[in-house]
Amino acid sequence: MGLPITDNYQIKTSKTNHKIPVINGIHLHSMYHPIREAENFVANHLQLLQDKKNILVFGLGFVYHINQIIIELQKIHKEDYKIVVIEPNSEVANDCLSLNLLISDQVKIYHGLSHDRLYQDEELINFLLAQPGIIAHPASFNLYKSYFKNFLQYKAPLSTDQVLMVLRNEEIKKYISDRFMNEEDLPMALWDYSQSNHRIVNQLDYLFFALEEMAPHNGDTRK
Amino acid sequence: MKNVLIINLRRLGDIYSAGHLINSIKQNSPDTTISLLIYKEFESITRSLGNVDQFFFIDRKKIASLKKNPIFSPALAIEKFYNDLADVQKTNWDQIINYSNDKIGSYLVSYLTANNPSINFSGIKYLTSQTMTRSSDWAIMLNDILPCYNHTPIHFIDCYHQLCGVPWTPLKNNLIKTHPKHDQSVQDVLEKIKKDDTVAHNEIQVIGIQLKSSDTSKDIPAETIIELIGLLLDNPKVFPVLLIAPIKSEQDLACDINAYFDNTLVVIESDLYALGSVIKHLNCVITPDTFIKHMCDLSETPMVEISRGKSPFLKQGTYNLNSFILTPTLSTRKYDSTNLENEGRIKAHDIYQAMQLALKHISISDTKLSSEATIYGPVRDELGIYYMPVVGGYDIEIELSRYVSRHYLKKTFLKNNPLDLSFFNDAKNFRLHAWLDCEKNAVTELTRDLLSTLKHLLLSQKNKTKTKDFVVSLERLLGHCENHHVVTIPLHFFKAQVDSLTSDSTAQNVQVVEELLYKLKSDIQQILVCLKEFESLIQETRTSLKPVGGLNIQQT
Repeated sequence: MGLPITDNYQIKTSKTNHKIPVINGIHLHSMYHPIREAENFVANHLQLLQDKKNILVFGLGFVYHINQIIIELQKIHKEDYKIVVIEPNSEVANDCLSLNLLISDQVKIYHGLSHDRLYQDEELINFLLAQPGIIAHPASFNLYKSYFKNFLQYKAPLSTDQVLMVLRNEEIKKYISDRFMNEEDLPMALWDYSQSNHRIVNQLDYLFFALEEMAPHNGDTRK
Repeated sequence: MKNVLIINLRRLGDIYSAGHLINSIKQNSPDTTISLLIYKEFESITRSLGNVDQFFFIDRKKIASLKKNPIFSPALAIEKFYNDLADVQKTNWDQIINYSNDKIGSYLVSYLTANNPSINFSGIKYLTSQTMTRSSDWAIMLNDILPCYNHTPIHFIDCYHQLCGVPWTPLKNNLIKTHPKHDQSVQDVLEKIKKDDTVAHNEIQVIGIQLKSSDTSKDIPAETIIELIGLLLDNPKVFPVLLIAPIKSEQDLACDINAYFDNTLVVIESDLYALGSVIKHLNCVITPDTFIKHMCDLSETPMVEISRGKSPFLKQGTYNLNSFILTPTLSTRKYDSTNLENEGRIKAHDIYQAMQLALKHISISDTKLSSEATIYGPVRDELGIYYMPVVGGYDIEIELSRYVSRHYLKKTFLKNNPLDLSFFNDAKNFRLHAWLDCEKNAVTELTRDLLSTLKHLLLSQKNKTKTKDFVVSLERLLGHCENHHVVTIPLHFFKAQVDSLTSDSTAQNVQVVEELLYKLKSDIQQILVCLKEFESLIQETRTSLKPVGGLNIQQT
């Protein structure tokens, strides 16, 4: 999945003297009162912020909505919260960061990254495993709808060569490339291998069999 | 210095239960370093379980999420699992004990020993042929025999000691670690209770009642708990406190029960770490079968274990000679989580009586139970802990089967052991004879099928077309494994060894089977010796019927 293309990008100033990014003619925040807009927007998500201390935000904009989320999270969870923001547009993100608008350092921003790159980031993976609450910034989400939708519907590639690209451990890479080269669905191949009664030839066979026993492959979830 | 790894990929109770083996290893060779490999979800036990030098973790939940959720690359689960085990794999182990004795544990033992055959392993692991190998007959006992019996003749903990070749040693030092601050808080609460309630010259004893277990079929019903608390409150010598974990469902239940007593009860809410301090300072704990039972044992706090539902009765019951197990009478007890037949069979009065017995307020002969409950008490013999029914009804056939099976094990593994039938003094002679006849019949039938299998084996060696007959007769022989007679024990050993045949050569395998069949024949002879011993004893010692008066068991 490629990154969305920006034809036109400019920064305007609101009536309240706040900087507003405008992309392809779309204003990412209110030109009248971006802070009040953010307050009203976050007020609709208070129950979610009550239930979740980890929040994934789609769309950085110029962080007015994020600062409001921070204010509410601090009221509920004190400093025990984390926000991760995904923003496809690096130019907006860099401008935003240079303007130093964020009010907390407990916000991690991923910008300009493909889905494959995002889903290989260990910190983001751990964050997602903690099942965060999700808040989409409407203007950003509508602007990059297919990017965010594809992020939510992402399925990791399963073929051997694509899995090998993610693997870092050389011993495991060699084990897999020696036995399972050209497999379209490596997890299925590993599962079949663990269920066969062949002779063990490599120490790692035991490890992979233990893994299949501990978390059995479920083909249906990947279809 | 010896470096020992214990793989224990089970739940909290089993991890605490390993504390007895760890204690024995440490006391028999104090310079041994013990490491424990457990699932990360039980990490909180590291602050609580003593005597362990190092813990390693497998983050099963994370690995399963990474593996099953399609958004994550398969590479992530694989590398996470590999990395979780990297330090374990790098360490030089002298011995690896498979305490899990499941497939995962067995694969991991094979993984960790594959390139280093000098590592001594205890339990089961896989060979390169993917057949399972057992480190000794005790591994067969643990994996192939005990799971087949509802009423086992030997305790899991003793089996693990035999498996690892470690003599059992009495508990020493604090096997449950506690924090001085927690100890002080508990002491303060208990002091206040005792101060408020002390009757002249009488020290109040505080009884902890665990409200919930992880399985509702094991739980003591709320109405029974309420009735029990009523009985305890009427007794000036004791004071009940409710034990709960910081979980909403338990808090709600404690609230409901407390409301019934106008909120006058003391509720102690504690996490795993603080629970050690609570248990250490209580005089007795009443618990359904959970990890708290094992914590009580390691703290040597007397308890009444309420065994209901699918609780694995006797296999890993209390290991404290001052504790007791209360169960619905075995002859009609069901062991599943859905069956409601056990519901209401243990009355509040039964629990109250068992508690008084544990506190030594009453003697065994003064203990009175309802008609459908039995109290079992642990005794220690050469093989370890054994449970005898001490109060209430019991099934003579079940008890004799367990007892003579244990006698057979002692004869086989410990050699010289005379049979003592004084435990069964109150049993009617005709019941003993009926059981004996049944066991003898089982021996006859098994011997018949054994001889038939041997005959077909010899015929098949001369004539290949007879191989099918041999296979059929072997299957018929192994079909006896479904029965629960004393003679079934050597058959299980035989089956486990046949299942583990490793040679690719049929001729070699047939030769091994032949040897195993002769070994089985000799083992059956040994069973017959046991049964004859039993027969002559009941003829010699029971010429006159003694009055019924409870089992002849020493109060511990």
